[in-house]
Amino acid sequence: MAEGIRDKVAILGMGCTRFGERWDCGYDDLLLEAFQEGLADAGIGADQLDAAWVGVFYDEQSQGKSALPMSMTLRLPNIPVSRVENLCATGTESLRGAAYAVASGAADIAVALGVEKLKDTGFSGLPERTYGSFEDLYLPNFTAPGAFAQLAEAYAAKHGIPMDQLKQAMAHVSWKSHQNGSLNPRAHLRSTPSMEKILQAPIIAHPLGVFDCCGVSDGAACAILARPELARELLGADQPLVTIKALQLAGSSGVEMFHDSWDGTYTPTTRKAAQRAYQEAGISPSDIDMLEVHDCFSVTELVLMEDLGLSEEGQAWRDILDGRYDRDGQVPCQVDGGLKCFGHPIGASGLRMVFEMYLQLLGRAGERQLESPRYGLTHNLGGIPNRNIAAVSVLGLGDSVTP
Amino acid sequence: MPGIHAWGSYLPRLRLKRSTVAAQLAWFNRSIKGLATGTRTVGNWDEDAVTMAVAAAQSALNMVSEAKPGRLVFASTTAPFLDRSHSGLMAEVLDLPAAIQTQDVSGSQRAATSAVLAALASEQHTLVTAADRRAALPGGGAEMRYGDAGAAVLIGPGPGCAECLATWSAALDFVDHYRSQDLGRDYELEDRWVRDAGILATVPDAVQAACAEAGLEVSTIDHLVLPLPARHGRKVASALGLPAESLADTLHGEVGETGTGHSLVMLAALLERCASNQVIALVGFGQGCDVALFRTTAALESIKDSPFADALANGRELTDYLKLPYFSGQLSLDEGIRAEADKRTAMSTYFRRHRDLNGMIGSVCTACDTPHFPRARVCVACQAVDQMDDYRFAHRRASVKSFTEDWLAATPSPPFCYGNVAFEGGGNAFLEITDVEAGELSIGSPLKMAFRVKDYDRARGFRRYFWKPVPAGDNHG
Repeated sequence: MAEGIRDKVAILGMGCTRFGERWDCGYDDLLLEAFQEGLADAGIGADQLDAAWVGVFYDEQSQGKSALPMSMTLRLPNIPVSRVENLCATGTESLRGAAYAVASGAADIAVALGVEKLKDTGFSGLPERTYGSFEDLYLPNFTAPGAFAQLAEAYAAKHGIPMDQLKQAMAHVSWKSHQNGSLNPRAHLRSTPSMEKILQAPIIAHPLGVFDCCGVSDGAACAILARPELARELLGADQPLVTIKALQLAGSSGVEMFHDSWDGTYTPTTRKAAQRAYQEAGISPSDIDMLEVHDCFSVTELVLMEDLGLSEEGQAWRDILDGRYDRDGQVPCQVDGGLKCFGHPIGASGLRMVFEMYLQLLGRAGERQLESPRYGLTHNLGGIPNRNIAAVSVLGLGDSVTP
Repeated sequence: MPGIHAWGSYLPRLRLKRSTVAAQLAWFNRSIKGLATGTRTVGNWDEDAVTMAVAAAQSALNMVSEAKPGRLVFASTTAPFLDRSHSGLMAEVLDLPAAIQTQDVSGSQRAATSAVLAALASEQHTLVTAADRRAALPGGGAEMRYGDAGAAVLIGPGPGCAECLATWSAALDFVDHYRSQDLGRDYELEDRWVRDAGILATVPDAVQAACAEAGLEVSTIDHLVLPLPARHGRKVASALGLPAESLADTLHGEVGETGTGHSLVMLAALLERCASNQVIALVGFGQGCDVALFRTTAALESIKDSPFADALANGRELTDYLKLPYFSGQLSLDEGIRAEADKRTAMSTYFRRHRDLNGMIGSVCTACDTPHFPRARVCVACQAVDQMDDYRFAHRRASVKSFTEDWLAATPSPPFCYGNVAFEGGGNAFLEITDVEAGELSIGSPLKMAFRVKDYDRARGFRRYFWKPVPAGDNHG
């Protein structure tokens, strides 16, 4: 395995907008809001940036192509700018670009931005899109909930779990995230529905009900990255420093979609990315104190607990019902509400997960602050179960690992 | 003499009780109460004349393994395109060689029998397919009487299972009904006038002429296949001096009148119950009359396939009457903004892969035997590059690996079902699953492939087709 970027990149500052139906904001307002907060948090000016990345998925209906809408909105001073896109893992892709620039020494300070303006379609749910001129000719016109719902029946059949029990576990996933989201002033959904209400919600795509689905939100997030030495210099040597311990991606090769060996119940990419991330960070799954995963749907979060090595295969549903991933459980998951309740402005989500880890590690998470977490994991998934890009990152305090 | 070597039949799975129609519309037209017996077939939203003819043709080709038609004819009065060869498309769908003569015929309810007569006069093996999906306005008798179906016969040199004895044809511009491009639906004239001035003035004479041509007494006819209402059929039989029992089942009770292919649908139903050495008069009626006389042979007894009976058994009651007018374009529903998604087809993309898409042909790795759909250049299992042979999936059984019933996706018939599908012998694909209702699928459910309309591009008047799995359980053939 390559040397990796452990502790080569520090977070100098971060910003994140309130997520939600931001009818009064365009993509540019959201970007600027996150960027200004990030600059203020880092204590630098835009003129100190050496490079910038922006992640946006549905460019057609918001900013359009390229990084120019970003660099012109933020009036960046002719620095290198790139727009990246990797489905719902777009936010992590932006982070990855900026992190690699800093780790390589190409940039002293780089910014990763992610933004999505989803609520300009005039209807609920994600915008319709094409899968390219060939795939449109044979792929089903699937929706995101329908594509992820596939996991549930297959998982239940494989492990012999009655669907009503699996539904209970799925409902618990959502119930827990609503509880968490209610404590987060930036979250899109802050209500606290009962288990009963969650279980009785109308079905969107069998067996997923409305409460099994994450919010479709507008929002933006921003991470300003620097070499750790420079960050210490800028922030002051006495300040705690959050560094990237691991940043790994794994993309499908097509096995899930086209080969008999995949049974439709898990995400092999997550397993690969997680393995590499633990190795890069020099830790094991049991070292993880908290995590933000790609809970686009309740069942996704459920199977991810196994893919990330946190639950035994076929046991995640029991661990969930036992409260293992609740805020007061052994490994709190989605402490900020997750995609489910913080919301899912696609290009921003990967960065929003890092934002929560950053706040928690620095002890700045307010009402939802966990007790001295050391390692936080983020998992960002682009695509659908049968083909996707899985991104797993580990974040920790700069002095928590001896190099 | 040439003969019929195989036959095929297809009935859509949906069956609507006529009493269900009457319950909705008798307030408007009391006379339909009198028609409110039995059921009619209703094509699903993704079925049309092409897909039904394809399904019928598949069952005909399955009947005789050595079938190699050199001609493919498609007869329909409801073919979706005025200018695009449906039979050419169907040849690819059926994976027939490109060196084939194809022809679309239309213009009257006699189109299918005229195609049969032309095939009998040809030296080549000809697959005649026929199907109609005739739309009718809600509240009329046509909506009650009509049904949707497809049929096929493979005709070629040699007697086959029914040897042709003679044919006869006569033309007469008798406009008992018409459907013009301007009007777009059937305009029907008075039933008794049609019977007296049209049917009885034409059909008996034609049958007699065919018998004379064959040197047969009319009384030797065992089965009269008349695609006409039974009450008119009885008058025709009577005029010919034949007993009413000689009339083949009109299929009014379970299917309805299925348009230009109806004689062939009736013929399929008859052949499956018919003994050898029986004389059959196949009649087509529409601005004239076609007659073909056949004598069944001993070969008929050895055919065990029963495509009509199988299709008849694979029915499911349609309880929502409104699906009939909606699926046949007689009713608009608020489909929402999501349904506005553009379904434009990139024709050059389609053409690059047309045989793969139409025939559901993928590839199989010659290094490790892994099948792929769509065709791949790099093997997903062993990464061998460009070591692939063609591999057809269309005729293979499959099973459900994962699925959902999606109530959010825009579809004419929610829920929209799709899933990861595993093929017997290897190969997996993510596919739309059709002809299923909520609660019907489970992990491992057996499936078979059906050629269907994938998307309607209403803005451009185009439709594109692809294969979809349908249930293949005990009652699904």
